[in-house]
Amino acid sequence: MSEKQLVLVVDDDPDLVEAVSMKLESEKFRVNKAYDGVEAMEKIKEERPALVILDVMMPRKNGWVVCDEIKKSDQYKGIIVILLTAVADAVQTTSYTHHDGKTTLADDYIPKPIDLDKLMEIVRDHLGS
Amino acid sequence: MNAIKMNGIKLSSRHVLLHQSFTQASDSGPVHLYQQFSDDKINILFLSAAFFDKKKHIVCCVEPDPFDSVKELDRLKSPRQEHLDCIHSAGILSVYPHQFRLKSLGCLLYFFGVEKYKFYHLASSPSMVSFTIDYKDQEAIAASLASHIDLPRSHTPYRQEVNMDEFIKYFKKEPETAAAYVEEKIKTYAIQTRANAMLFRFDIRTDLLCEWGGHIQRLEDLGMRFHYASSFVSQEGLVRLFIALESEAPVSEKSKQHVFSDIFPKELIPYCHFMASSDIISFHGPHFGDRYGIAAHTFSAMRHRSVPVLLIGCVGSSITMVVPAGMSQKAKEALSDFFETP
Repeated sequence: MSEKQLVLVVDDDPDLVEAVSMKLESEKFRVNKAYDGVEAMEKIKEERPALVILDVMMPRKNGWVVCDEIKKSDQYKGIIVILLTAVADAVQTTSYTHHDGKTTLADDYIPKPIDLDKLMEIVRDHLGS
Repeated sequence: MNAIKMNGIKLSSRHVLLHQSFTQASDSGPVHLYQQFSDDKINILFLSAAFFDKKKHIVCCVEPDPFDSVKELDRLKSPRQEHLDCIHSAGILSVYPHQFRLKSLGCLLYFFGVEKYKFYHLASSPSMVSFTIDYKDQEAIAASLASHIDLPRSHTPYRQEVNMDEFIKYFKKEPETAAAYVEEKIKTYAIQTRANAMLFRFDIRTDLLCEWGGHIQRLEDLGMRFHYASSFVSQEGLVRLFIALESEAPVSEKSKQHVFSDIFPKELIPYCHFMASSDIISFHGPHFGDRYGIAAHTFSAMRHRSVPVLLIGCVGSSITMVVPAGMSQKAKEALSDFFETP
């Protein structure tokens, strides 16, 4: 049996971290959790995850910076990064677009409010499981 | 006592804490107030209510403006309301994640007891335990708590504030927090239910809080965990702590009242009350902690389908309700009328 892949969930909303983690665990992934950008980088160094689900707006170090640090590091650039960001039909007052989302170094993004099933689909696609 | 591993402490800005109490059975009081908040686009940052004791309590924290005005408070009073107490300088201290562990909950109660810090109320979400406290004590309590629990090395208490300048450096257009959700129905990420929890009430003298905290921690060794906890202070100054417990081993209806006999000292047993077999329903949605109207929608949903709510807590971006055993499906259907459910 293959080893379960490790996913790091990073968001400053502990309840969202809990909800996403429970969903990932039900899909047989191993989960690690972090609640801000600094802690996320510590967890990445401690136990290199296969994939990071990364919120953008966070205290101490935001998701853009964390994404840059991962993707500009020879050691960690292979880690898949999925950004959680506010771009959706339901959101009318932001000019953020799909195109802007793709200009980051992240591998993918999912709009907030997130659809957990869609997020799982993206995770499975990237991890080939 | 070993330090409990936690990930973080979150602090709030200054809030006004409103505490209503009722003795009548009608729930029109809270509905009136929370509908008013919704109409006025006032966000509730913390809410905890108990509706099944003789005296019903509902507590909430709101932004200070406009509640610093006495006139504004008078406007909120409903005819059925007996008391509306107000604390003008309250804060919310949250600790996460508790992982439903009684060792975490007990450790926090032990901390407040042994350090003699005062809290007004507590309520839990699926990940956090939040305490309402005096705003001026926030920093001192957070610093002291940090030495009682095992936090990550780099941890600093987190205040829910956003540094827009730093953010805009990386994001040149409008920041994502400017987003306004326009939804026909309010979206939820997930609704979770748990059947057959045992709801207990513990009447705790504040000078014995640390002792009780130790006993509550030991319940975990019996294979128990909690799914919701909240507390109010009684007129006699007792902390009335409600805990919805789940046991790994089945507990018969008859033995629920005596479940603590082997763990708690004899003299404390009269202060442990089995209240009801109950179901827990919790749900969570995008930015629930930053949006108005969520509590009013929840109250309306439950009233619409006549679901009696025993306890309710809105903490962070989650709402947790304790309903009588067998009612969780009806509660879930009621929520589906008012919220978009996955």
